Amino acid sequence: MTKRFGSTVAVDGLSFKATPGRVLGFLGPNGAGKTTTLRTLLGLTLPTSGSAMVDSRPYRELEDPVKVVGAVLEGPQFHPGRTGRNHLRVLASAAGLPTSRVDEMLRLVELNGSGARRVKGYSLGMRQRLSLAGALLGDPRALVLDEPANGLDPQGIRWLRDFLRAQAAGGRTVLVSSHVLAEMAQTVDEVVVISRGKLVAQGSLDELTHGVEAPIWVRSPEPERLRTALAARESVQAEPGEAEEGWLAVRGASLEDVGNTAAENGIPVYELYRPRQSLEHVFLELTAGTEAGG
Amino acid sequence: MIRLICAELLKIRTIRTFWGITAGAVGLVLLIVVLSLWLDDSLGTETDVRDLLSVAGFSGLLALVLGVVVGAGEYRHGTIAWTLLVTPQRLRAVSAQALACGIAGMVIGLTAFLLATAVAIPWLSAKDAPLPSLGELVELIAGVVAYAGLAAALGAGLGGLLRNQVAGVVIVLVGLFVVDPTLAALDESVAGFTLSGLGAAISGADDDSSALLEPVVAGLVWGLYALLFVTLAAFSTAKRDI
Repeated sequence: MTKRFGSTVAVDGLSFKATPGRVLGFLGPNGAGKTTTLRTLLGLTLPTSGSAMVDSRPYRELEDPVKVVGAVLEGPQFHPGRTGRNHLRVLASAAGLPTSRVDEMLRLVELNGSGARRVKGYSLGMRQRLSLAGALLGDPRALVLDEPANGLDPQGIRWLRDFLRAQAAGGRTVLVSSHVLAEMAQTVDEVVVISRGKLVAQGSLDELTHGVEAPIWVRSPEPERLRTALAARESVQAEPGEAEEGWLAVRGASLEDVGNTAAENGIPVYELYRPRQSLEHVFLELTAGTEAGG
Repeated sequence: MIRLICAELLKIRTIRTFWGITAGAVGLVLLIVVLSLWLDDSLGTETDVRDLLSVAGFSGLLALVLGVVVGAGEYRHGTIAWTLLVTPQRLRAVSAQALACGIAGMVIGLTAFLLATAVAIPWLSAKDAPLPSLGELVELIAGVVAYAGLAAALGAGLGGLLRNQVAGVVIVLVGLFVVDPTLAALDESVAGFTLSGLGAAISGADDDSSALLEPVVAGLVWGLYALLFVTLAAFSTAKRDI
């Protein structure tokens, strides 16, 4: 799918798929085209070329979209003078859902005590919860959430994470964009990373976090001897660590290689590990050098 | 479609604007009726009384403003995205909104007329003024209600097309109070086709002008105007990124 706004290419030949039972994280720097992509998927924005499909059909052709996809848009907007409950009643009425479903959703997002208040008195977090309640009204098979954690307090974020995990465990498809990478790392199964509207990486969280080679760190009282011994091995590079004395950063070798080399040469080793790359690190590596493009 | 119209009606009646405009329309009409009854001693003929009751047609002006505010308000408040997530078929969504506004406008017109009549009839009876027949009352009420409904539907189309409440209301007011009188002054044959002329013809207001169309014809012309604006709004919404 490609989307242009005038001469600006917001999304450039992007293609990916979200599967049932998995939480797919949609990552990218600001202006990478995440929101445009999700709004196109939801039929709010028209693609310049290509298509975005839900259940193999464009959103606009869905018979009963509320029961297929629940959506939370970034910075959800409401009529400030309408109460939260009435906002949901309007949606339920248009979708042919009973009012009892409205009260059920208000309880689910813990807004049942505030449903009679006008939305202009809601905090950002409360608006986000109301938006989530709207997305869940039709008990949809898929959820498309654009920055759903915005404005939520730590308890709310925890609740959202557990909720999304439960939704995926129940067989639903969950597509979620967020800039809170640490939170995403705890929530998602798979990741799609885009930058300047283009796909940069796609895969499971494990694949991605192990895809960027991380050095092995080893601490020894004889770092120079160990470094010489390791350098003698083919394609192994060992550099002194900058932070503390005694540390070496080793690339091109496995943990076993480093341990065996030290043992064979009678060099004591105090610490030896390969840190797992954080999603943030992977994200920054993948999007390094790119700029906000639209 | 009925489901969508019901949802749009719920949307309209759950904002204060609707109640404020309804109260404004009723208050304005009652004020004019009461002042006329109090200060005007010349209500001596059935035509005078009929003219007095047709003042309820002023509610059409406020119904027109309501339509603009509701149609453009979807964009001002960003609620259009919610509307289109539930009803992605944009032509249906815009049509349902225009029809709902039309119904809301009819409610405003009906309320204004009934209250004006409830005040005027006993007062006129006490003054021994000639009262309109039941048939004339039905004709009047049909005109006022139809005008308010058609006005609100046209307003919704204009609001959806412009997407800006202030611009929409200003355009309506300038059109009614500047453009229409100017056109009528320049060419009387055009007067019957201006919004003011059509409104007066539909609601039964007598402005002593022979240029006015027959009420039913005027209603059809206004209906065509409304259909034009709603269609333009629908197609423009269908092609637009939200």
